[in-house]
Amino acid sequence: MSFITTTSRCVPLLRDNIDTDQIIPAKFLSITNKKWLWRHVFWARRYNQDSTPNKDFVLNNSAYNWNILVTWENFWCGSSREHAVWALNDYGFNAIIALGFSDIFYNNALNNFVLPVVVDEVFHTWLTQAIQSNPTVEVTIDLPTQTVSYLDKRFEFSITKFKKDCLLSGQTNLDYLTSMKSEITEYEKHAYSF
Amino acid sequence: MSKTIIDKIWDAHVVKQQEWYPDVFYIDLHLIHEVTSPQAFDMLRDNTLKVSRTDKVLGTADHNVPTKDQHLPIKEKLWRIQVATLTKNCDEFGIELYGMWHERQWIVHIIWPELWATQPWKTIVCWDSHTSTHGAFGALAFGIGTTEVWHVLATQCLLQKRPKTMRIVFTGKLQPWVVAKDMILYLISKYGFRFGTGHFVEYAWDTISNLSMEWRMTICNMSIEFGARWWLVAPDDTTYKYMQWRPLAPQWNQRDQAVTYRKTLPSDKDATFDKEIIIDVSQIEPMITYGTNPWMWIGITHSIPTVESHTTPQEQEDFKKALHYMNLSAWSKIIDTPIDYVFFGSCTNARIEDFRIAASLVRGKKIAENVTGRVVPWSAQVAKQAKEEWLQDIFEDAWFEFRGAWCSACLAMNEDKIPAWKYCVSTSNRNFQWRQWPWSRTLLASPLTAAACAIAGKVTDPRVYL
Repeated sequence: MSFITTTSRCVPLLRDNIDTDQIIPAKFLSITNKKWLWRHVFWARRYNQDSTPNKDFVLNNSAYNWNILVTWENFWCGSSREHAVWALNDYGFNAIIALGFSDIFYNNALNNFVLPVVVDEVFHTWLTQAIQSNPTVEVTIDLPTQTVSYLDKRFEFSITKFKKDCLLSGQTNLDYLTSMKSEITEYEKHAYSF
Repeated sequence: MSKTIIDKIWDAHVVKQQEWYPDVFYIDLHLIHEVTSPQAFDMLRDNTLKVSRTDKVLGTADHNVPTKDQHLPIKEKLWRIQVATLTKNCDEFGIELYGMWHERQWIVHIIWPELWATQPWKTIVCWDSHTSTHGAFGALAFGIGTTEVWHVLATQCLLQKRPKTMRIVFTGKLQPWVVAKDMILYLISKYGFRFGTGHFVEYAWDTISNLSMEWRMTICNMSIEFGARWWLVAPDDTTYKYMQWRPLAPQWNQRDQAVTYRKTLPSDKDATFDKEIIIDVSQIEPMITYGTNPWMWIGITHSIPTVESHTTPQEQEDFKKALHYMNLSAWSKIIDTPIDYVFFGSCTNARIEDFRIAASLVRGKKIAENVTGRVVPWSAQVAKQAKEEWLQDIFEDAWFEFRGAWCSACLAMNEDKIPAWKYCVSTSNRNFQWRQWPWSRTLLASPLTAAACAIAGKVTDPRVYL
């Protein structure tokens, strides 16, 4: 698995503080694998209380069925449940553009090769206005150049060199950690044991 | 160079530092439970890996297990499978498990403090955002995702970027019947739940020093709702007194060595933090939530804010949707709102001190006829102690139902659900939509406020019972 570049239309979910219970309610965490989670992503908002689809929710609008999610600030606040990333990824999202993310989400997303892209308010405003007025606008996220662009607009986003290299090459944190076996053993010899 | 306690603990656990790479960070203790460990163990198998240090991992089943009829098999098939999978994985990989019928059954964040395996200076991780509870003991504790659970199982390490630092000073004297839960709710309501993002926070100084260990745990437990993943309180004499004679505490000369070293941990007097805020606790009153995310709190005598008090169209829209879900009105008083359930439980407020203060209000009274009250201790040890101190009798005489330990209605992954559209005053930690079951309405409060609401049958200021 890796992430290099993606070009897609966007799904606008324009709310702040989308919490983990919204993305994947606790009732769907009683599983022992990662399968079929796409069925439950944003379940409370996709369906009405009588289980009929909520026509006003963006994921039920066929004009917005693509792999880049655009949201606002503090996406995925709350629980550390990685099921939320698995559900988003299983649904088809491989990148999320926002004004900010919770710390736990940011790590969990990168560990699953879902790219969280933080943009500034100016670019965010341009982008959300563009995709709301024209759902067919295509956005390109290019990791080698660290840019997100659409039409004539372009933004350079930040990502650490280490995670960028991991996403491009498919290397995981565990690959690096397991290469540190002798250093870890040496540390354990001298660490406090109380 | 002057250092904060955070710098001291962090530096002591770095295995390797390289330019352009996050730190290779050693984990002293790893707690696992049934909800997302299955996938982590599958990842171990898929990569033909073993658990690196079985002596530094402990398992427990706490989220799915019932709080009643605990001697019977779990009814719901998916819950039963998850708990059985944890048992199988712990057996296969050689991990000690405190399972359903263990004498010390408890919520995952309770094991280590009660046994004193949670200790100052140690690094502790768990797949749960409330792992920060252990920070009350001067430990560096934080929640991780399943993939990171896999990494720690395989290597006993994580890759971590050093966060920024923040110090929060609580100063002054609390008003009567204002408790630790009100302090942390006030902090979140004042600063919002993104203020701490990217920071490691130390709680410090006079008010914190006067708090018991259990009240410190409450504050650290809810700190993730402030946005910060790591929190701690520097260890002091209160911490070391709590430690004495607990089963896994260092003994004899190791104890002296441990205490001597740990007394060097508090932040140096001239250490600097990236951010620092001061809170005067004397102005805090009993707090309660009215909305569907952690910043929607008010003092219990106050009115719900207006739409116009929110500055951006997005905040105004969120606010209106929250009030619609809760069926409450802007600019109305929350006091006297009728309620249906009261839940004493969760890793936030289900300790013996919480039950003592709630029982002091409940003694000799009955809960209102329109209320169902449930009391769920956070461990079998607390349940036993509550019985010995006659607290269980006080609650049961008041018509509360006293249940077995575990996570229960905090997130309703067992049968302890709050029905749709019912109001529940809860001593737990999150009031998101659907938290306690689809369409349930959660009002978060302290144990004292919850007790007062149960007796009155409606949202009530506990100070009327002073």
